[in-house]
Amino acid sequence: MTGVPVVALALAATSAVGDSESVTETTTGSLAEPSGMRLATPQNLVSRKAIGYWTVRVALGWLVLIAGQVVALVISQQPWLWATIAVTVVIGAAHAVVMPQWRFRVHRWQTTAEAVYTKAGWINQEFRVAPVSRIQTVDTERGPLEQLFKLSKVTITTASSAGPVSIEGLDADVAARLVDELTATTQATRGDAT
Amino acid sequence: MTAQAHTSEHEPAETAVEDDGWRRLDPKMLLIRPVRELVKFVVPLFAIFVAGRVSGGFQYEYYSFIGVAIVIFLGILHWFTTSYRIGPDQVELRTGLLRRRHIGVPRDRIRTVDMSSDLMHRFFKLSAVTIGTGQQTTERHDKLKLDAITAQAAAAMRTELLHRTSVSTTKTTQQFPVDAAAGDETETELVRLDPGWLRFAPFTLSGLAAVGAAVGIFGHSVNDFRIALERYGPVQQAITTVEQMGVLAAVAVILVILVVVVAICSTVAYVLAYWNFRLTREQAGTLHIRRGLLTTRSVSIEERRLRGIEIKEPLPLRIVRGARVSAIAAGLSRGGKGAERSSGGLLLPPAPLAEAHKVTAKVLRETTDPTTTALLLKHPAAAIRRRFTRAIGVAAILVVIAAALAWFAILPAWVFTISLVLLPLAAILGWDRARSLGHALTDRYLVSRKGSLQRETTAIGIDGIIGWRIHRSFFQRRLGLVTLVATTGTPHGGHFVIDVTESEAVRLIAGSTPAILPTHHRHLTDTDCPPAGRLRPVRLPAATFAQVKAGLGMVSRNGRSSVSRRSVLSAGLVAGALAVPGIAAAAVVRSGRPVLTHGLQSGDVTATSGTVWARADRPARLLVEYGSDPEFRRARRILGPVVTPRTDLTGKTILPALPPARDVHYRITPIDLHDSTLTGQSQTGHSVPRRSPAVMSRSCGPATSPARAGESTPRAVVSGFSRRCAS
Repeated sequence: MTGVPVVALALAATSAVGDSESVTETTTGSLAEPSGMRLATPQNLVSRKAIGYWTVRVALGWLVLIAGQVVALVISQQPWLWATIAVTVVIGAAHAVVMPQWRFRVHRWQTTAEAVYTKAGWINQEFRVAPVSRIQTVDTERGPLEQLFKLSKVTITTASSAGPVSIEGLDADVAARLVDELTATTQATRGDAT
Repeated sequence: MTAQAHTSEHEPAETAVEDDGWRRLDPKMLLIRPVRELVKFVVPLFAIFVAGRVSGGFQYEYYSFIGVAIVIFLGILHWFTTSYRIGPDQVELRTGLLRRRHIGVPRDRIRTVDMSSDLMHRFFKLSAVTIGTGQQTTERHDKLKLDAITAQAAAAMRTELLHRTSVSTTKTTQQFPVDAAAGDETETELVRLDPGWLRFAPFTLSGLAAVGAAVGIFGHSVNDFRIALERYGPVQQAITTVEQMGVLAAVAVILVILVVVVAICSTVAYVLAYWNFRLTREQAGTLHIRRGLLTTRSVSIEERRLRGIEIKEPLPLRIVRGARVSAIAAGLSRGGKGAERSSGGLLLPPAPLAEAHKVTAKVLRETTDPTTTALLLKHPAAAIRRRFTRAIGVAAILVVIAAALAWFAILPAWVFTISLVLLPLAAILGWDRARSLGHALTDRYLVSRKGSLQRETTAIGIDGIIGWRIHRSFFQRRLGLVTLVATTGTPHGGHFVIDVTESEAVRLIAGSTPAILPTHHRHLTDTDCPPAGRLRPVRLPAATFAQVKAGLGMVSRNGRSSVSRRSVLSAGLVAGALAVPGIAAAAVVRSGRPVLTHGLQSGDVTATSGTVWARADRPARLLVEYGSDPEFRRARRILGPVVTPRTDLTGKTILPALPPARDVHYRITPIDLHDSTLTGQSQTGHSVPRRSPAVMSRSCGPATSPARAGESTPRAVVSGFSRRCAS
């Protein structure tokens, strides 16, 4: 993580500036319907420490489940509980190993002067955009586990009940800087469309 | 509600100012309140009475009379413990006996002032006033409700609170300035109830809930009191008749009766709720809705808060070509119960679809309703197929379950047979859903339509879009589709455009909020760009725009001192510039503001978009504004490209979502990369609408030379570019 890159976002279509051929272009529909335009994947990954954090968090959850079954086994002495415990351990281990790695690769974020972008999800993907000018609050959240890993979760809300943007697993320093920047920016803006 | 609910600490010397502006509710409430409370508690009180009567030993039925006395006493006490005050800054309400509550709503947060009068209110000419803020999480208790004051006072309060322009202390001039003295402003009627619309009432099914509730209560009480229905003569007769007719005929008869009863109930409900419906627009920019036969309601929606509209066509209503229209606005309550729910923003009760389109166009101040079907774009074939697979898939699963249950003899076989009917029904549903799908992007609205049983068409003003969500499920990804959600600060939250291609989603975002287009962008690794550490993160279109205006010496409407100081400053600079034009201008330029060295170029004009091109004298960011108003009053702003030596200091920007067949005025302002307050002189241009996509006008050249900025009125700027320059 190299801090919070403040990347000037150029419109994709403007990237060919100075390219005379595109200025004189006389296509009828290419601007209105840019074929094959794709959403950009935000550039920043979250902190690598988040892998450890997610692993521990998931493992704890599974351990509770396993502990419950062990207690049940001790009390009831049902032999088939060994099987369920084994299955739980296998699934839990797979989850704790695969999920954090995968999540680390798909959770992405980026801020520019204009907006905050996030992308998350491996099976169902969700991409969110919150314009900086419409940000209402920037919250940082640090649970005990996150403190242990020096991580923060930043939640950016707009006036809409539908569009909070959260970034989980940010390095605490990066998060602090991000919050500072967004707060400064937000204070300078008026109008959140309420 | 933490922001608004204050404790009484905020009122210093509260007791001393007891009569200072604090008013009580109308004294007639001393009569109404106890009666209403009694009605509320009539069931438990009556239960106590009955139970006391029938219980063998200790007869406590007279306690119910004590209860009645307490309820009446509390009802009267409520009047003495409740007072309100309309101060210059906030509206306050104090209420409660043991739990005192003090609610304060800042006046500039007030979004809605609604009035309602039930029968008792109306008898005494009273009105209950509910004052709403834009808070989405507003709980019922935090609402400021004055129940009740005289209807006259309520109307006056509404005018006073909503039309804040008449109060001199407010800080912003509004879009529709109103004469301070003109309290009884003129209003234009947009629509009123046509009695002929009653023909749509049976199709609203609002009676269904009433019938359901009645049946439920009836069944419950029959059970509770162990009433042997079959002993009664008419019931006996009915049972014998049914037995004679056979099951199918009986079911048919019951259905017919049910339909008739529901239709009657729905019609009654329609009349009760919507009689005297009137939608008007007041000069102060407020939509005013009044309706109701017995209980009258009055709802006001500030047009500034209006983010769009929603046309709802539930299937029964759609079959007879009817529709309802609701407002999508910040501050409208969505909670509430029963009829209040979601009807707060009702702009048109069930009425002909054509009427719905007419009202929509009038409310949105458009010539044609943007939700008109002909304007909507079709969704890709994959989206259509998805409607079928989803509908039939669900039905198929149900059929399989029914088959399995029938196989294991858990359910009788005829359940499975009947479940087969689901398949063709699902196919029809899927077909209808596919037919409903559509979306469009006009110059001001993002429109989308979906649904079958409850078809909804929403038109959201693109100015009100405050973010995006793009969702892609596993199945959607395989089909190359996404669901685009435009988020707004309204109770609806998000507005869905389901199952469009990714590039279409990008197009919609680009057309609505071009500045935040999340497409593949280049990293600026150019050496000419300042390192990231020095680049200011704050480059806000809004702020910059204010500075541009200030720099031009425009008289800002809010007229704050900082602006005028700036104007003086720039006037001073310009005075120097006027003395020795050439040199001074250069001096101003060299003092740090970037300058556009050539005229603006435009091209690539299609029906709805165009490209503008500019060149600066140093690395700079280009701020592009455009719109159909020559004075850029409702101009769209794009924080355009960064120009660097690598791009030959030139940059171009697409102007998406241009209004079709209208003149487009555009203005480009260079902004210093290191300091966003250093803005250069704007240049403006103007394009003539053309059918042919090839040509736009040539550039206008510098509309205002640095020297001319001294004639610091907006007029001067306008005259520079509003003439046609294509000649």
